[in-house]
Amino acid sequence: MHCLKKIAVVCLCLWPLLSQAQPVKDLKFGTILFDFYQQEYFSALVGYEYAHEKNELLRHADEARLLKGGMALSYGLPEQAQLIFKDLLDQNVPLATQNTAWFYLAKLYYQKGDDFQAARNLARLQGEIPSDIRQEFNYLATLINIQNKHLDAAQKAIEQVSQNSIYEPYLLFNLAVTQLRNGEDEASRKNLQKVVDYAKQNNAKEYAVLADRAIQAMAHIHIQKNDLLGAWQKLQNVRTTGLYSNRALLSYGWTAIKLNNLDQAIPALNALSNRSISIGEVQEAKVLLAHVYEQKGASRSALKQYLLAEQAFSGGMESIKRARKVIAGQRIPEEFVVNLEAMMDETDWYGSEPSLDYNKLTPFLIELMSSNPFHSVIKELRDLYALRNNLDYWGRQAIEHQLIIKHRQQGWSSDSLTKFIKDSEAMKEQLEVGISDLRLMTYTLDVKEQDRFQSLLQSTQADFDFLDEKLEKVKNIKEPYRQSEKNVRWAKQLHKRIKEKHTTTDKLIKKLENVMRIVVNAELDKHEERMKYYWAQARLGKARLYDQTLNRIEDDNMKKTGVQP
Amino acid sequence: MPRLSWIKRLQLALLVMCCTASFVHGADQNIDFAAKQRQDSARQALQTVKNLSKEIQTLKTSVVSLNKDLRLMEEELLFPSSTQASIFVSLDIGQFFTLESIKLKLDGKQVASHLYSEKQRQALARGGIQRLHMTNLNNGKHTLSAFFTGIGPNGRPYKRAAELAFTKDQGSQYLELQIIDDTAKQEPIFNIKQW
Repeated sequence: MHCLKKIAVVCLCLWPLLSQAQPVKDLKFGTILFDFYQQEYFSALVGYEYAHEKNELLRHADEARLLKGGMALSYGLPEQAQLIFKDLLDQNVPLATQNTAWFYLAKLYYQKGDDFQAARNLARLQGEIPSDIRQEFNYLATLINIQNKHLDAAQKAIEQVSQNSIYEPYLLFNLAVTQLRNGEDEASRKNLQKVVDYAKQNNAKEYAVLADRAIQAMAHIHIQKNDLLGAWQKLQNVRTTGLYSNRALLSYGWTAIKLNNLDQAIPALNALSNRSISIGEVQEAKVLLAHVYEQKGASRSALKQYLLAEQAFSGGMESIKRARKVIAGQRIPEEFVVNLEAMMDETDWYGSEPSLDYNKLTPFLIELMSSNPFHSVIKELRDLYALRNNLDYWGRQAIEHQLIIKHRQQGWSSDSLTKFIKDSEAMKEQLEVGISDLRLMTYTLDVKEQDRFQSLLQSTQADFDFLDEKLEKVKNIKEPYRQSEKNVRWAKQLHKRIKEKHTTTDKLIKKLENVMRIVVNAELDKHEERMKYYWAQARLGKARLYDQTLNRIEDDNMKKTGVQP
Repeated sequence: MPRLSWIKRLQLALLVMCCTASFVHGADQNIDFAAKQRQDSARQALQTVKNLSKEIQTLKTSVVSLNKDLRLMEEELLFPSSTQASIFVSLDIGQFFTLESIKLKLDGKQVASHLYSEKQRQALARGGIQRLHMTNLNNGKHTLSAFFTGIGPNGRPYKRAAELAFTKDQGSQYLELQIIDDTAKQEPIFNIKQW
């Protein structure tokens, strides 16, 4: 086992984004940056290759190459990125370039799950960390420190350099959970409280969601200490809406039940019970709610809840069937992948009725979304769809290219040029005669009228001279413009390549879409199995109540007839 | 403060997912339904992506290269270097001016206009340069006018124009619309630079 060293984070204040702008010496380098900063990595990479081919990056050569490596990494080309960084590090490049290359290499290994190599590469950075990677460097270094259980170093780093960074609450949360696993309950609780405080100071949805999770974790600490009341008090502070509210409401319900506070459990379970049946916690809550009524001796309410649960599970099973049909559809994977971001950003989308076809899928896939294998498939598919769109665009452009080439080839020939010159000269002679006739005619007019026509004649003569000058230029053309045969061949070759790449892209998309369907169906299997489990529980509960009622009726009848039950 | 994308948020939260799953203080939450199917499908997904990874990377690289070649060919076809003229936009920090739109006139005729998104403004402020327009021009004298609108100092609507008379010689012509912060006057300067 390798002994992983602690990575020191950079204790310099973080520069604001705006001060990062550096004067650009090559315009084309600036255009690459324009795409890069908008995270348009494909366009930025094309821009780099184009400018590089035209030798337009001479004053930013190393910087541009480093940037290319970073873009390749972000665009899912780790092998190309690795080659670029290693190549740069083999050369005698400035320290800032070296540091950035080491950082990107570390990031690359971290993404591959190789923490050891990631830590080793981060430790190679020397001197001042370039400002544009400083924040990300500190984030990565702290994450690796947390994973390698250098928790004190991570805590210090968050306190010293990550304060007010967008990563601060996430780092605190990750650290707290690792501390909890390590049995450092008090340290964990303090950090979780900081996450909650951060959300109070920074009013953003994502921080509120994280704060909800932090509160749940704090409640968990109380539960572990058998302090159910403390846990219950904590859980009261979790929002009743948002991504993690289902889990919180269920925990709240369970804690109240364990505290024998059945009346407090009912509202939480009721709130949960009204949400989408596709959510695991909702399925459990439906059965639990009926069970609570049963415990309270409210048999009628309990029976009603069991019946409602059965009805909901039956509907849920139908939804799963529909979702299976949706994922089997032709266009759904693309629409689903492309619209994923918009769907995920909808507020409480999981609680609302799905309106679009692919939205019928999403309630079942919330857990799957955060799994790495599914995420890799989605990411690659999204890139492939974008490539297909790009190739479709060039396919349409190719038709236009051919049209331009065809028209140019059918354009001027030597004969048509000679005819044009001959016709123009004939027209010129006619016009000259016409102008001199007009001039003579003006002499027949009185002086006042002659003055009026003089300026008109002058302007006509100027236009005539201009045309004459153009005609002389045309006469000097020895041979008409011809489309270069080399360019025509080049265009044809490129158009052929578009078709080839399109075929490869389609083939890969098909393969990945199949994988996606398999993964989604396995997830739907999970939902189906769970739904069946709770449905069976609801049926059992209902049967138990019917049984009890029948027994009671029988007992009552026996009592009436004087027979001992 | 920049916001994290949902994928980033999910990834950040993912690190602790397995641990926090047990925070539910319930009876049934620890039952792993259809565990085998899911593990198999996840393994299969990872394996397929891994197997296809090299092919996908090769395809991505070759499409980038194809795009570069197509861009070069199209430029040769439509904007040969002898007549080509490109107009770029750059922004120096943007402390005194929030760029909203630019209108461009070449020899008195409007040839381009652009509305800026927040993402584009940020990219310009960080040192990015936008190619706003590309056209063909004859050799000789021309005039370029640019009209900038946005929010100026003290949050007031701000409209300014810049003009440059230039002579196009042989070869490509590059022109840069520069928006520069004048810290002494606490206001933006609009300039057109001929490269």
